Amino acid sequence: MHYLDPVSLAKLRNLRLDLRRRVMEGHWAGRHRSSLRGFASEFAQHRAYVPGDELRRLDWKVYARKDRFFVREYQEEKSLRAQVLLDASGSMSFSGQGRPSKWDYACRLSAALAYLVLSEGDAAGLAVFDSQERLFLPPRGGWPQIDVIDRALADLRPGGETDLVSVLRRTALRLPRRSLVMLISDLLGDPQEFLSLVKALRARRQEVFVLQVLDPDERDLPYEGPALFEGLEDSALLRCEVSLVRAGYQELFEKRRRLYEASLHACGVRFGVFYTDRPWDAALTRYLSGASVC
Amino acid sequence: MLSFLSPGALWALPLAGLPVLLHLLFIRRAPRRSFSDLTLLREAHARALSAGRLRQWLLLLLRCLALLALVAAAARPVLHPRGASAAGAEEGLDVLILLDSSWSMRAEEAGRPRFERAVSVGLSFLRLLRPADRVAVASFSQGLDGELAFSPDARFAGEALARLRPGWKSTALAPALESAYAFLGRGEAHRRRAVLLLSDDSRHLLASLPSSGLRGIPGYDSRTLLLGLRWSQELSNAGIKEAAPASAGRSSVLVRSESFGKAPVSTSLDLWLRGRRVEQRALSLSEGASLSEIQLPSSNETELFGRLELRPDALPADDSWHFVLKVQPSPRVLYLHGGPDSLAAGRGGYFLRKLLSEEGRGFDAASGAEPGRMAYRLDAADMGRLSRLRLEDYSVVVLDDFQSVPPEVAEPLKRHVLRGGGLWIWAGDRLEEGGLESLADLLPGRLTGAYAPASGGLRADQAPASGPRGAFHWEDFDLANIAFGRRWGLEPSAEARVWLRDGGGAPLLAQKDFGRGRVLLWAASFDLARTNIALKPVFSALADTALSHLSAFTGERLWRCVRVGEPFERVWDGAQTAPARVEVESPDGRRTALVVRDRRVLYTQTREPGIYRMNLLGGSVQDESIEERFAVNADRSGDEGDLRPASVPWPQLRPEALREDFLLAVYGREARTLVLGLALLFLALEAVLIYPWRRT
Repeated sequence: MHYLDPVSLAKLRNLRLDLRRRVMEGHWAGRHRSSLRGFASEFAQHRAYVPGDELRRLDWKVYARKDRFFVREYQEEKSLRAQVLLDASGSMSFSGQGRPSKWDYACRLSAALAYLVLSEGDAAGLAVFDSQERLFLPPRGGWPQIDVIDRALADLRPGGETDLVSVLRRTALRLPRRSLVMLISDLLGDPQEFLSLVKALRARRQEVFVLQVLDPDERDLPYEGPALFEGLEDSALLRCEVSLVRAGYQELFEKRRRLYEASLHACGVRFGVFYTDRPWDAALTRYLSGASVC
Repeated sequence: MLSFLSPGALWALPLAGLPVLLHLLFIRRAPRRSFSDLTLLREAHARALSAGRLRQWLLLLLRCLALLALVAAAARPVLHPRGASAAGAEEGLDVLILLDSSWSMRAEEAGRPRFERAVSVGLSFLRLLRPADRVAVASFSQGLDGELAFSPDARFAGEALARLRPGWKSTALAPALESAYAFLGRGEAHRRRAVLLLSDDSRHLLASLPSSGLRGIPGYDSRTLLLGLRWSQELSNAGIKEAAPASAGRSSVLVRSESFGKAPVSTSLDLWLRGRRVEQRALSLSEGASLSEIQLPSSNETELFGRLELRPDALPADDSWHFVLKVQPSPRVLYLHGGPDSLAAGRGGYFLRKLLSEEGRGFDAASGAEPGRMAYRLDAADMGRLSRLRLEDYSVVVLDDFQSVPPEVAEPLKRHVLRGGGLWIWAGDRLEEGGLESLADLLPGRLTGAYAPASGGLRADQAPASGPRGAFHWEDFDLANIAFGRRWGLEPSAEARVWLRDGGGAPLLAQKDFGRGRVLLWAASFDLARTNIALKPVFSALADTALSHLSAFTGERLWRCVRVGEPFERVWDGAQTAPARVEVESPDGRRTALVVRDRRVLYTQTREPGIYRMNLLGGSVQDESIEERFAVNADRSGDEGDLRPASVPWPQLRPEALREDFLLAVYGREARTLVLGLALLFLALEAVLIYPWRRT
């Protein structure tokens, strides 16, 4: 495989995507708790019998003790449907000096997350987009899926502009409710629209992971002197004196990061920032352990 | 009003745009960088621009202004706060224009005499004056040429200035400035005062100042602004400082030349006589004085005139030296004898003829003699032919080899002596006792009879020891070996002087003045049969001394050269025929008639160099007109030909920037310090503006 070489796989074996406390909806029985209550699953609670309930759901032992009818309700276990949404816009091709590109870094994260999902016996899919949806692999279970995802990632190259919100809206809404959405992007678009979309996803009870992949140069703007900046998405030019704009830029950058962090935290979204100057496996470990900046 | 003293520096004004140019180059060289997303950058850039754009423009402006101020400072700006018109509206300026009319101002610069250029500058200067200003114009050389008075207006001053002409005198600045200070000091005290010195500001000008400089000039006023003129070219010049005859007896002229500036100077020294070049010699003059000797050609003329000339250079006025060399006519000697064999070999006449030149043979008036002979021309005649001769033509008559002097001979001889002629009587063997009775009253003694002296030898008593060929000592000759076989006894008269005595102490040669003439009596013969003195060297000295004494011939050559402005005086002595009047013709053709009073005439109108001709008219000269000449040269006593520029202690105006220099000197204030201060202020502001940027 291209992104999941044996070394990477060895690192991933120590990781686990712990979603036990998350409530998912799926088609296959799996290790995750389902929001659907039934009989073949883990006991959830008793409730008072109401006319219309199946009689087989009556708990006779409780009736014997309480002399009242209670129905047993069970937490039915379902397989997880996880969809990795990967930003393939032109800005993802950016790389600082001596570091991997954000795209490369994001691909590794995508493959790793898909692997972790599949390793739990769940279904993982992949959607790659820029201003349009460039690839959509619906969630599937089984190890062959990781190979499909890896090859798909290896064949893709970032390019074009980002229309994150509209694409996400179309893609995410195709996913079933209560599925897992893992968005990997540099989130350099309009934060307000993005956050409104996340809120909409959360309203659909979908679990959302947001992994922001950035290069340290995008944070520090470490250049000196005058520079003619060329945007990787729209080929726009900006001539400026870096030293004059650095402070303002860093201020805006930090402000945006805090906005993402605060807003996504409030929405219950697990948010993490990944800098490409750090090993992806270590960063992913920190992320899965709950740290926001990895 | 703003003007610049060094406007050439303004060519650097485009440097003020250097920051803009650097800015443009700076932008063009910005490296291209790919960046993921420009949204935040644009926003940050917009914020930075909104806050710093004004500062950036201010920085650029301040840098441009600082450079502009530096360039302006290099151009030496002059501020005229109230402008030229305002300057005229003040109390006004009293200006005295002093135009140097010395002959050094005849130096040519770019083909035009400096005097003319100075007049042009003066006229331009007059146009700068305002109605409230007053101006006076004068020229000076040895002093002020004329009275000082303010002109009614600048137009009259300009006309007066244009009328001035250069002179031939040397420069003496101190008396002119003394007069100028005194003149301006009489004006109103609150008015500005200035002296515009239109001179060549060369070294010879400073040499004419006191050693203490301007302050040493009586009446010096530090409030009076003295302005000079700055010439664009440094002139090198070579000229003839002086020329004079070489030592006596030599027919050459010594020429002292001087060269100032570039050396060596290759030139030529030409000798012109009567308008014709007779000799040319190549010269290489090093800086300073050089001495050359140029030979005069052989000539029979008693008056040589012409000029010595160097090749013309920056100052042609000192390249020629006019001269007149007046040579005293060679005296004519008449050897009057009584027998046909008086000039035979071994006779006294023979030896005299050997010593003197003869008529018809080459005679050099300049050198004074035929080579090897004395400067006398000898004629010999028999005593019986005296009536056919003009004794006036002879200075000395030598009477020899006669028995007696008859009255018809004695009378003309007496008149000759009375008129100033000389008579030398040799008492020979043929002389009879009492043969000189007819001349007894003019003789210096009486002959007492012939005898053979017991001993030989000769001794000087009161004999002069000098002649035209120089001084000598009788003792230097071998007088002891002179022998006399027969001689006459001589009893000197009371008024006679004994020149020579024989070995026994008896008077041998006596002299006496008679009338205006002189008489010598030699109490012996010069025949070889009676004495060996004619074979001795002392004979030449004796003849030279005796003939020069009798003829009053000194061999002197008169160098008739005076300086411009000096009078020329001509005095006729008793031996010369004085005219009743003279007419002097100057080189420019001007004629001046003068009356001779007391055998003397004085000509004072020596205004320009050249040869002046003096025609002698009337008096005993009667109908014949005799010409004499004298030479006049420019005053070269100082270093007038030194045209090298000097460091003068007064500001100099440049003719090409007369207005600016004048305004600066009189009214203006140079604002270079102010502009430099502005530049510093701009740089300080720039540093203040740049400080927060660096801190971030």
